[in-house]
Amino acid sequence: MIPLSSPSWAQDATVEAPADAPAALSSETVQDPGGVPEGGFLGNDDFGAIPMGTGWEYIWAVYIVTWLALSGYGIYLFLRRKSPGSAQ
Amino acid sequence: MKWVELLPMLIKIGRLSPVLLLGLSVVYGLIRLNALGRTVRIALGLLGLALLMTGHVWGLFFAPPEFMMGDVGRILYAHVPTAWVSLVLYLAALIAAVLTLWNGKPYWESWIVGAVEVGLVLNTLLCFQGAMWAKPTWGVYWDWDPRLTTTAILIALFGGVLILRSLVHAPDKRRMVTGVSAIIAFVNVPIVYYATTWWNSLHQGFSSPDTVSNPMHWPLRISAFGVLFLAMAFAGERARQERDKLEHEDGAPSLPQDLEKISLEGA
Repeated sequence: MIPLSSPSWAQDATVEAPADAPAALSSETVQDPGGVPEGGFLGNDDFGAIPMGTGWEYIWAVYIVTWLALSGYGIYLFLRRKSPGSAQ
Repeated sequence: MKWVELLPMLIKIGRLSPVLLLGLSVVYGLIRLNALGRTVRIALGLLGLALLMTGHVWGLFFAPPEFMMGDVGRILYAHVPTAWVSLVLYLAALIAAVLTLWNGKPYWESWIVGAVEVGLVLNTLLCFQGAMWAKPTWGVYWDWDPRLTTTAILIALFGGVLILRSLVHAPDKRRMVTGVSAIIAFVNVPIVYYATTWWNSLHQGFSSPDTVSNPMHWPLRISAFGVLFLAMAFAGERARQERDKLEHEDGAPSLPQDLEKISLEGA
């Protein structure tokens, strides 16, 4: 359940632990609260946080292709119905 | 075994029952719809389009960004309804296949074709949507993960049903081949559903209103009903076209008697 590759912004990031950081996280901190996370959905905790505004090209690709495919199939059915030799 | 030990299994079945009930209702609705004529199918398709547009606009512009994935999480409103409805259509194909083998009516055979063809369109779309979501979140378009692999196999299996059927010309033999191959292809559907449970999968489990945060419920539900109604209209139209073709080939009406009257009234 590990992302296959880290996005470039994550590879560039440098994280330094503060000097007064505890040696280990307390059990209270790491405990899984269970249930649906606020503002999200179950199962997405394997991904790193993605900055807001990232990936709109993928979002548009999904929605445009979805509408094209559904309308294209609808037109195909309509033409198939109208074409000579097809059943009425 | 004490009844308490059966409780988790009963809860699981209970959670799955709304999905099964919805699937069976859709199958029944499709059958009645096919008998009610084109006007009803067009109306249902337009309602589906309106709902889909509402759900997508809500999901894209008004729903909050997902708390980990940010805006990319908005793909949820297109991807998840497509997955649900494609599996429901395969369930419809299974029931039609069983009925085809049971009574040998071309009516049910036409339903296999309608449900499988629309299911395949959604299934292919589903893989594209998934690839577009995988790239920004997993870093790759495709991974041979159990859920992804079994979903891709579905395309091959149900595509095979249509190819196989096109190779057989004798009506009775073709009916049997179509029914049997659709039943065999359906075996993979529960495997797709449980792939994330049975194996260690990169893909998360099936999303539903129970596993999604409150502000995401409505756009998801509305989009799902939009795709469902649109798919029902498409499958109904495709099945009708196929039925007309089969009747022409067989030279005999294929509609069961109880539906024939409704069909004539609604035509």
